[in-house]
Amino acid sequence: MNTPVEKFGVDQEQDWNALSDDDFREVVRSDFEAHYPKALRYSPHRLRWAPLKPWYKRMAAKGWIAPAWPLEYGGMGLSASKLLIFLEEQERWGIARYPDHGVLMIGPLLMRYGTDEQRRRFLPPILNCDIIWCQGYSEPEAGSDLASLRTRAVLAQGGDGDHFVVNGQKTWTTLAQDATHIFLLVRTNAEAKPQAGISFLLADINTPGIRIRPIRDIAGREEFCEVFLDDVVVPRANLVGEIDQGWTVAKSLLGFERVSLGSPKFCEYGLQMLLKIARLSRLSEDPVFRERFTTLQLDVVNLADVYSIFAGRLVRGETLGADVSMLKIWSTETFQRIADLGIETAGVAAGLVGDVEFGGEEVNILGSWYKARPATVYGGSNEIQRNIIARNVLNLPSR
Amino acid sequence: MNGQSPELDETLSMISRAAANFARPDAQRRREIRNSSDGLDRAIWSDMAGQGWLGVLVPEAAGGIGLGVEAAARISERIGYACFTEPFVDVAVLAARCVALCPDSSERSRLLDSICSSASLVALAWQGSSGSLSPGDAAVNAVVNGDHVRLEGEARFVVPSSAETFIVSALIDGKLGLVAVSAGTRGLSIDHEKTADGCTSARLAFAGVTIPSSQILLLSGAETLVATALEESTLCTAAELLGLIDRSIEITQSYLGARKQFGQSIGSFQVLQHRMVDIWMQKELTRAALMSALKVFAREGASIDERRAAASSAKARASQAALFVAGQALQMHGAIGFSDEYELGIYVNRSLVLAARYGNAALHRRRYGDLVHVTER
Repeated sequence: MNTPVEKFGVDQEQDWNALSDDDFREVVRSDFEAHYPKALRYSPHRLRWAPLKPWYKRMAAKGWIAPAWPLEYGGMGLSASKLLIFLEEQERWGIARYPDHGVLMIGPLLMRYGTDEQRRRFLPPILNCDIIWCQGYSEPEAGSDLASLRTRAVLAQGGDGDHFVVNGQKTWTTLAQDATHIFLLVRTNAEAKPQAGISFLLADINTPGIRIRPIRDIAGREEFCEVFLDDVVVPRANLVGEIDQGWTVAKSLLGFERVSLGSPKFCEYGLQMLLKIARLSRLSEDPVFRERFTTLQLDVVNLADVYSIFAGRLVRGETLGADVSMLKIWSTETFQRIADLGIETAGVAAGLVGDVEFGGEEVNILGSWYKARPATVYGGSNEIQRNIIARNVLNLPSR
Repeated sequence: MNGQSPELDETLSMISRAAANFARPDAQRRREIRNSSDGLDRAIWSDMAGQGWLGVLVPEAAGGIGLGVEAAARISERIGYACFTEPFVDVAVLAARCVALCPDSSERSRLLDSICSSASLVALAWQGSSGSLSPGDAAVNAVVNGDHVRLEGEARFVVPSSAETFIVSALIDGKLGLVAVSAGTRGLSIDHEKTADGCTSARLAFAGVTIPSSQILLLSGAETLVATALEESTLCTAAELLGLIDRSIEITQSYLGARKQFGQSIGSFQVLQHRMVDIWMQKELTRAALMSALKVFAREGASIDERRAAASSAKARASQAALFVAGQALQMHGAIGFSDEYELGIYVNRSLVLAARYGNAALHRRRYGDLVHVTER
């Protein structure tokens, strides 16, 4: 990681790590409770950027948009324990996630692989939420076998210097409608082995030749999109890392993604929804429900135990190994078990979709279930995660 | 590992290294010991005393090395890894902690000396047949009559079964106290019940057992003291299970690499690879739960309920994981895994015993649920 030559973001009000854990928790909690819009708490589905923008603009202005980033890059520079508290309090108050690839992925990536020019150009707008990213990885013929992707980028000379011309199609791109930018995996060398000929590009979503079509999902929502790329011109200055080295760059991103996908907050949200459904079904004190609930509660507690170990390594700047894949597997599959118990508890009402009246209150019974199902597919399917652990952690033979 | 003083970290590392050196898997020896029935190789036991381990929780002033529960947990984990059936947790954690917490007396000094030096075996008889973790679970009644005490009742699942002295948690005139009873005392009958790991636990029947009242270690208030020792024993048993899990996975991993069917090594089959990942994840969850619990135990000011919840989280996970790993490991081995000549079996059988001892997964989940309520917000 290079030392930044300029100042990023806003100054922190104080050295958060100097506070006791309890005091820091109190500062964060009272701020969230005082300022986060009540109507946006505990949304059962991903919210669009427009309703969330005022809150995250405020977080940016306060210097709280990037809790895990180091101070010199405009983050909060939180220690592992403080970072966990921050995330816990976000979860506790039911704060909705925005399209946060910039803070979770692109920022850390540019700190590691980017040029000073790229950091100057992209980190400030990420920190003040002027740039919102979407991820251009999957293609119609390249899902779990991502390295077989076919979107091509050809290096060409032009009036403004070297640039790439990109042609192809991406799909399952979450909230591309709300993005200002897209990061792309593209094939720059057709002769090399699949993983060796891929490059990592950053592109403005309004570049001529980029067309977006939302895809309706089985929950009736439009959270992901197809992205068509026809003769899209991307400046060479937007290449991250070396040419043909994009796979290495992307793999390090997946590490970040697996830590964030492994956060216990999704499961804790699921437990909350489950408690509500049980109360409205008058089953909260049912011994069978209690027994099953406690089993899931401990699955989540132990997830948090593992998560804090990985979060600690990340904050200490250690490189995460392939074992981090277990976070994603355990958190998403636990979330599914929680959602399954929810629909079992609700009985016949679990056939009702959307916000419905149940037990005298409004509740989205299927919300968790629809949220939990794709979680084992995206971000590298759980089968792929298991393959990774089998090969790289357990050293089992390949065929 | 918990950010404590560098001196303690260094001491703990030394203990881990010494334990790794000393306790190595040896399936053949385990098979020989199980015919001796109390799970004890006297030579190994006295070596463990020589390392100071039997006095790991006993204060230095009383002849021990006065370290904490984390040191005991590290030794336990390694003992599990080597599948030693020597009753380290039952003697050096449960019995030793109980006696060490008693007020000073000549009987207390004598017992701590014999525990630390391995001169004689001491066991705590606290449990009845209910399976609860309550310190007064055994139904032993004691009546003081002048300078004598008379005991009536029964205790079960007492380990080591061959103990020379049993510390009995008994209701003395209605209050829970501790009494030391020698194995040879008239009126005490000892039944040895076989356990799955080839050892035995003792079922004690007290029929008019009369002993001098100088053998009363504590007249009342034993609940807190026994509970403290039980929580630590629970945690150390979770650590021992982690060791069993670790080695079971290692054995299976190497079998999957060596065994060939259909012309290839079976470890290359995806369905088996994914099962391996699932048991490996349970090991990681167990280790993380144990580490979190040890942090709670190391924190001054942690309440008894916080400790109980932490111990329950670790033991529930460890017990559940150990049985899951045992089942999956057996399946992945095929018939060889079920045969007595193969190493895996001793780990499976030991896992069955320790998963059940000091509260099984269901008991600890229930206890955790009663202690830690998630509330709707």
